[in-house]
Amino acid sequence: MRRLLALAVGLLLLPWPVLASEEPATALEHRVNTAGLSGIDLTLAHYYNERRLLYAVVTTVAMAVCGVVIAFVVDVVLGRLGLRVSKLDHRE
Amino acid sequence: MDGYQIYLPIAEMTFSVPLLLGLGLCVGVLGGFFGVGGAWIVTPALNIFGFNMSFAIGTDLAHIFGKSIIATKKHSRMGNVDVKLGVISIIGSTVGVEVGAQSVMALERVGNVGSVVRWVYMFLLFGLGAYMAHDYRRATRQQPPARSGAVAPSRPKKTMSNRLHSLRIPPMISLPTSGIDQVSVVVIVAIFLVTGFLSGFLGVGGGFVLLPSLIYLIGCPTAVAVGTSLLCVLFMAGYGCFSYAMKGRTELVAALVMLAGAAVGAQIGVLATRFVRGYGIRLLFAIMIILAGVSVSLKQAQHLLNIPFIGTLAGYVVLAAAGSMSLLVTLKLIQGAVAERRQSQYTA
Repeated sequence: MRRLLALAVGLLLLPWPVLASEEPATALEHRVNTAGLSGIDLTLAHYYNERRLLYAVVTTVAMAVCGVVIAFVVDVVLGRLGLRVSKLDHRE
Repeated sequence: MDGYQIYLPIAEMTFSVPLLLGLGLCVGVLGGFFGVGGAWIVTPALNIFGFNMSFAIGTDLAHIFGKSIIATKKHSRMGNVDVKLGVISIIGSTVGVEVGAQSVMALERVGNVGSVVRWVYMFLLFGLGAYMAHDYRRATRQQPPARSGAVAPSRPKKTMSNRLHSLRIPPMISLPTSGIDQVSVVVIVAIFLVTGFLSGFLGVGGGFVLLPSLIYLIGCPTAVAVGTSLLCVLFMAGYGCFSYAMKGRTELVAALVMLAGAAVGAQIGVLATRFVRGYGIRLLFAIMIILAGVSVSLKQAQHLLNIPFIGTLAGYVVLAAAGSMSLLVTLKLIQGAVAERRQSQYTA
């Protein structure tokens, strides 16, 4: 228990000395420069600048849809190649 | 796109497509094999190659989200996902991720986010790596040759997971997929709360903390820990992806390119778990995170000493470590598949 407490305190205190380091702060409200952008890049930049919630939804849904589609396609392809996986016995 | 470079409209920079694909492929292999998001490789790598740290974190979480869907689906087919345990993880993890993400934003106001994240990274990577390597050594030493009747059977060792299982805080739950009779839901939620916080703070899917937690604190078999960890990573990364995108720190184009590479890698990694024993996975995991810790230390040294070369070296270390480990996992898969085919031909 004592060891666990020491670990937790160490973890909490460790970052504080570096608060004095010199890495510059990043602008919290970042806006994308849309000059020269077109097509999907422009649409994304527009969502990012003007409709942040929509940008977040598009980002999350795009990643999920791509993941699901790829998983499905790969399963079909591997199945056709005879590389189906089944339940395993767990060995340590 | 110009040649092998792609313009990233949100991060407002050009980036190498092969580098993004290669990173995706490597962490895909490692993610499928170890049940981790692989952010401890990708976040520092993206940061080293020019991404602002908070952008690297957000973009990485987005790609981890997509990749985890692919790898989790595969692991669930192999019976490696404890769904009940995974679902409980949502409660603790989502709260933890948000607290972690808010901490990053608070540190960003002060202007020290990169440095603080690197210190915490180093502490965790070295600590967990050393513990797992020590556990592997202890486990391999504790297998003496059996001498019939020579020694009285020893008492089963009181592990950390045994101690936690003995905490009878209601409600209790049984986890048959993980081979656990009774464990407190409160204990599980508390573990996931901490791993969720680290996930949001470090921009990791949570796997590199979660995998050891599931093995040593909850007591899952290694393969189930890998699959269940991926399910938890999926939820955490999904929430983290949305949260960072809302804060404007996610580059969708880069995440999608990385996902293309990771899709192939994840298949290799998941299939390789069929041919490597649990303790083998633990040892390789320990080696991998210690190497990642070396890379992050070099990056921190670069900031403290102001020598740019050390930062470049850190990039090469993390990429070489990820590349070598991915290659090793791929070789294990090929080796195992060949042996399996030979055996099936022999038995036929």
